[in-house]
Amino acid sequence: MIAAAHISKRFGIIEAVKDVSVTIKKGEVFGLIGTNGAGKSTFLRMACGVLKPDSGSILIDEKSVYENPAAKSEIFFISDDQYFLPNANPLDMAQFYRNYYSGFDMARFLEMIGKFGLSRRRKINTFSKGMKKQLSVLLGICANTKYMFCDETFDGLDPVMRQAVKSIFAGELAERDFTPVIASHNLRELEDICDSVGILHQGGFLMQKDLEEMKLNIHTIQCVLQNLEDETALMHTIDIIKIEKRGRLSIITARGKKEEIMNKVQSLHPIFAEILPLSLEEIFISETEVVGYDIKKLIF
Amino acid sequence: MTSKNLFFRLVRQDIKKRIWCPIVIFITYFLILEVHMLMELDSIYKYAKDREYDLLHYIPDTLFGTKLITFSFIICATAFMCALGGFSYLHSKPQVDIYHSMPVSRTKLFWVQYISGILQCFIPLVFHVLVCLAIAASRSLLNTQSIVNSICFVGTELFIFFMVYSAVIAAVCLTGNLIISILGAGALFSYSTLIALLKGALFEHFFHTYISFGYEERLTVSPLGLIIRLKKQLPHNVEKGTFFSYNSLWQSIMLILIAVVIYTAAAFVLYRKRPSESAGKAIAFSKVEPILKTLIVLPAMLLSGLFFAELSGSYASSEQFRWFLFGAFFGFVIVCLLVEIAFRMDIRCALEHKKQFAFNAACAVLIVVIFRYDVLGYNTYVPLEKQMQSCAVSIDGLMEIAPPESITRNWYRYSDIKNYRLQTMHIEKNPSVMKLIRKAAKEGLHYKSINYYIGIEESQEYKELVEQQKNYTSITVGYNLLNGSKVYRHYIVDLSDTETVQLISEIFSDYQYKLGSVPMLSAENFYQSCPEIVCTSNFHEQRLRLNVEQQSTLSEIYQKELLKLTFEEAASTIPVGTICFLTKEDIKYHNYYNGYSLYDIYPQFTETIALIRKYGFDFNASLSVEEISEIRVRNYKIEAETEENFTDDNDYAVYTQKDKMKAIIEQAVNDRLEDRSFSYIRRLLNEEFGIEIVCTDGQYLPYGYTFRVNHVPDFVEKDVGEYKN
Repeated sequence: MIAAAHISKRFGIIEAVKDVSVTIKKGEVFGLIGTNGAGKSTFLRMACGVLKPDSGSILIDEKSVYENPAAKSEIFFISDDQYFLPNANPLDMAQFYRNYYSGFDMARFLEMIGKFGLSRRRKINTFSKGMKKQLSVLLGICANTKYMFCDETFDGLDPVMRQAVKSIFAGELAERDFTPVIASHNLRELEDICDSVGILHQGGFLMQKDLEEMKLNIHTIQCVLQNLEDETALMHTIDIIKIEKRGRLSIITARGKKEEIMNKVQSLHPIFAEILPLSLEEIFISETEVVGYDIKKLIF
Repeated sequence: MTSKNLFFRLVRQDIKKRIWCPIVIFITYFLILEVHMLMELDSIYKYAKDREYDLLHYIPDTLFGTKLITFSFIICATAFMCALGGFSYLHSKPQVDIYHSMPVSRTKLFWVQYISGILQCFIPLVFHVLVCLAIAASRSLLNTQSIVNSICFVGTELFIFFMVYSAVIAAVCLTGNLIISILGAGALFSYSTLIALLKGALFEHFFHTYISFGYEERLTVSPLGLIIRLKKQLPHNVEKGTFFSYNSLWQSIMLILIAVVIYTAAAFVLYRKRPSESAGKAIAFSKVEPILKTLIVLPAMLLSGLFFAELSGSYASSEQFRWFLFGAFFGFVIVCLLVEIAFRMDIRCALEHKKQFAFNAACAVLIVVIFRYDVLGYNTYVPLEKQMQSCAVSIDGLMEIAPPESITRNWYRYSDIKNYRLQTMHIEKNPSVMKLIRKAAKEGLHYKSINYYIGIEESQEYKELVEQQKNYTSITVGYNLLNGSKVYRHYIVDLSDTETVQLISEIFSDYQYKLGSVPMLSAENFYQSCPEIVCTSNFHEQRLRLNVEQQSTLSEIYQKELLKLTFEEAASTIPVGTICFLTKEDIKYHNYYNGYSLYDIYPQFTETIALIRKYGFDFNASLSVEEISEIRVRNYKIEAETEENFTDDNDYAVYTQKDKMKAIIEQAVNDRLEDRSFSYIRRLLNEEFGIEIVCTDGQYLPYGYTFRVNHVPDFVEKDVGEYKN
């Protein structure tokens, strides 16, 4: 488990991260969302021991990270600007990481690199940006660390590769103790992989929630009710977050269990009613609007 | 987790990562060691007859001996390369992210990089030194001393490498990008030496009592200063039958070792404390930034001031100071702006940090005021007698005898006369010395300069200045303080002041003064080391070989008479000749004497003159007119005044009549004796005239002559005393 408590980091006059507390549970995929400059990279660099927080603490499995090789041996960090040794090929990089990570699985690396169609002897500086990201993910996976911090690693991967990486993550999650933390400024990238998500804005966490929990507790209903009185009655019986009218069609985003909401709608004998699937983006828009932020301005 | 094996795996990996570095080092060392050695050996074989090199000595004495310093600069370049190559990753955010997120502590990472850099220098160095020894062995030039010196050579060079390498790493850790790192490393490498030089230049510019003796004051803690110190301790003379030895260098090597420890500790602490986020910034530690700026701006300001003051070409102090002020202001503003731009890497930030600008400006003004108005009383400083153990006084022109300090196969190396006196003289409890110093410090006399213009000689100002300064002479004082430090000052005294002359006379009569001034008196068994003497009188010169007994007697009698000589005698008497004592080395390597180690023979030294006459040379022997065919007398003053209209006809006269030649010879003084005369007695000589004597064989006597004052024969005055159109 990763437990950050009241961590702050300042770069000169800029307060990159301020008083952030977050808990990332073992075995979940944690998505860290925020605009550019929100503090995602700074948070990750503190979490993997590159930066020292000005205040607060970050514990990985109850061990302090900064200057603690024991804690760091369980972390693999993929920076947003990856570094590869000069003139190195994938094999050289694997050898490089094997020196540092005792659990590095070279056989698996060779197998996976083949599957991904990356040449093991080709110089990395001839790789495309996407290929370099694939290579970084493969190196990280094969390092066999418990935690993997990916800073905007998925941005730039083509949809096929993204799916492939996601399936590898899924496999790892199923087979071993693995907790990826993925930072991105793109909610859509993380929607189908994250278990829980934290939103960073201007150095502070707006919120942190379990994605499934959020999905279970917030729904959009598309319905046509008999008359205006029914609509007024519905608004008083369910916890409506947002309502949109298109002619007689009402699109209502409401908090609560799916069955409870539908029962209340059905009790009004609507002409038409159905539950619409909610995207992560919509959930966040709704959630953050409630706490006073216009998430569309913050993220998209 | 890392283990000991992992440590070396990481070292190997680092070497592999920057393999270009050991390759460049390997090739450079190959050229500097093996190739250079083979070229030198070939040259020695080729010119063996012309050069005194002993082939067996080349390896221990030169290659692994005196070339130590030359090679040390290659080592410095190597250290720069290894340190920048190994630690510049700290300036790259992606690299910092990867290395500092790895499960290795910074301590271990530091030592991995550190050891890796050392191995990149050490392995090629040892390899090439071994190859050199193998080459020497193949040519039957290998001996025990070669092996001993090669080990000492490698050890010393490695210490130098450690020192510079650690200093550069410290600079890299202190900074955040490569360019600033290189500048910072250069500054750290030489900062204190440069500051010492700047200090010397400033003191010389502002304080007329400042005096410096070469590098002694510049031996500072920066690596460059310590290398210069090592160079100064290199023995210049390797006696026959002996080899170059590192024993004389141990003090400098120990200092380098101390510097290694300090710089390595500094580099390690800075590395550990360096925040990772400083990658890409100019300075890693924001708190240090203002200090560094001040340390850059203030010396640059002063340097710029000095530069413009010198560039102005003005000799007038007020005018020079105006230019100094302009230069200091200009340099200050420019450097302040440049530093801000460099530190921010943004030209728009040139005017940021106005408070720092104001602070530096205030410091700059304070420093300039301190120097200009001698606020700290540098020129008037005289230590209290209770603070002083002893002191030394060197009076310019008075009995100046330089000791040959050391001699090599190729050149003499003399000690500066002032320096020699200040090091060897220990006058204690002589009130006249302190009285003279206090008087000189209080009067604050110094040579004034005015800007030259055509016709300056006729100006009242110039005439007054010349008149005022014509009896000035300088004295240099060294205070040996009880706390072990030495303080030197240089004063101007006016010999037309009777009190000053009286004080000098009292100092001259102090035994310690003569002991410290005359090498013969202070050297043990001086005569034993000088088997030959060269005697020079007004007209003659002869070399005499003396046996040990003769040497001993001469030394004893000369010393006795020299100690009896009073200042009044020395100042009012023109010597009748000089003796130069030739050391064994003089005879062996040069077979001649130098013009600085001459012992004056005064007419009062009757016993010495008689003794040398017995040995075969007469100081009082004059020149017979029978030996002369003509004498030419030249008037230098007319030459100078009639520069454009000058012709050979109007400024010199030729005399062939025996009576006139005799009259001239009786008043002629050899200008070598004149040159050696104390400025006080220069007044006894008429420097307007130059006399050239042509012998009957058509050859000129090798010396020039002049007349005694008021002893210029009338016919000479008439012939060349004034300009004839």
